[in-house]
Amino acid sequence: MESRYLRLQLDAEVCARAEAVCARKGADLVDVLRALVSQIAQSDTIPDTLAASPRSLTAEEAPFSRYDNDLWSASRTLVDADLALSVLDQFIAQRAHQLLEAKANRSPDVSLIARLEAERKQALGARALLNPDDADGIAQILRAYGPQAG
Amino acid sequence: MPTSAGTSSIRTRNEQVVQLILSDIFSHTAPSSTPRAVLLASVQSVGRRGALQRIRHHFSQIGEPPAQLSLDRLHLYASPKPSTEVVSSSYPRFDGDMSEMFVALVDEGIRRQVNLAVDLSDLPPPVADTVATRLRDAGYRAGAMVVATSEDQDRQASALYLDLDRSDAPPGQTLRSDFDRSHARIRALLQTLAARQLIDQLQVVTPQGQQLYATEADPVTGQVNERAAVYALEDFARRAALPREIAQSALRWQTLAQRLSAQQQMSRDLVAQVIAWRNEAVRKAEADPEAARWLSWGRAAEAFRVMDPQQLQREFPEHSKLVERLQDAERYALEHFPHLEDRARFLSQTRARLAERIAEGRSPMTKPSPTKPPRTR
Repeated sequence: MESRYLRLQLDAEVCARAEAVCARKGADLVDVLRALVSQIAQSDTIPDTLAASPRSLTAEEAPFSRYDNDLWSASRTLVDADLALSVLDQFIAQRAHQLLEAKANRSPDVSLIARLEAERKQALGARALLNPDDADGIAQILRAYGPQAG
Repeated sequence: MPTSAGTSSIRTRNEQVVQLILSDIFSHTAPSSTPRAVLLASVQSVGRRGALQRIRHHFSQIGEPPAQLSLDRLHLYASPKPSTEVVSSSYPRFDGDMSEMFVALVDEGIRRQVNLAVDLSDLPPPVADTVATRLRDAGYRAGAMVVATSEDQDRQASALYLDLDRSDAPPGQTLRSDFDRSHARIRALLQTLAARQLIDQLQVVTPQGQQLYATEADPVTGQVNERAAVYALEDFARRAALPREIAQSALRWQTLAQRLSAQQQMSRDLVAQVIAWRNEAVRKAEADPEAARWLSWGRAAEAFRVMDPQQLQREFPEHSKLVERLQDAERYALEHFPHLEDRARFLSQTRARLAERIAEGRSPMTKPSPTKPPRTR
């Protein structure tokens, strides 16, 4: 019998989860895939479940990949508030140091200094007003200053 | 050993940074005719900034916004995170002693007569003692605010912070924190503050700010009863969780393990630690029949939120009636909502409602439990 290699490139996490599922059922993922290919060839069709959902599960669609509001709302506000204050503090300290350095320059860049001053002042104002129980306000700060901010 | 020129250069640099710290720490503060200080003591590292900010918010509402002092904020001036712009080898940093700096800032607050919110949690005991003594000698009314937490809450907050903080900054403490040692430190701090009559109020609160216990100094002895506060702190930390809370904790750990293990850049040691805690929480839930039931409902509910009906049918045949309802909803959406967004919103709401029913044990196919589900808070 002539054989042929089939190469698949899969998301590593999805692959690991599939292997774990197969292991729970006492099977090996490769054997299951081999059986699937045989089934498709013999039945001249693809199983209905796959036809209806040909896409593999992405990491975001997997169960427990998102913070469910019922389980997490209290801790999220608490931790988000801490994170928002942390990113503001980092931003403020960073701008303060940059200002020192910019001012120490032999030919100071006036527009740079003005921009840094304004940004620092704005962040200090935002920090002063932040209410740790205001989830929307915290989300705004994280959007503006957080790790994902542009 | 630094040369005198080197020492002078460090001093000059430090003076510049100190001016910046003063300007940042005391911005948006206002003097008070009866200045007060709140001394924060928290076992949990994540949540301290929020607790200090809650104090600030309270004082701001009466028109006397305080200055906030914490070691972790000061550390940013010693080792700021590198910026994508304007970074060079001459980047000015604070090289002095952090404890001295901390006490100097307290003195500056006293000089300005502003209210102070001070995090004592990480200060070496002699420094915490010095800070509280200076405030008392300056005539401040000082109260201690203790944030109570359980070990499980503390661990989950640290792991959650780790997931959400996509920058390089780690949370204040590692995930392998020694909860018992932190607790002992806070107890010792409270004993010192009470014994030396450095505080005239003492309050124990939850991480969300709800008050668990409060007391004032005895007008005759001038001492607060810290033993009752320590009892409240211990009681909150060690209280037995309800079955549903045990299951919810296991479900939260499942999410943390899932999310952290999916992050390529995450330290594998940290992920292994989170998975170990997840397994521990699941074992605990499965050992209690009532918690195990809640856990199984929670797992099925989560699957219901994300999986397609075919998968659900395969994995959770016991919920086939609700799967059928979901399929009915899909057909209804296809017929009645021409816009994709409307259809998606309708299906998402339907899924959420059905998932909620499963999570609450109200699925029509769920076998009736021998006992009624417990009332939960």
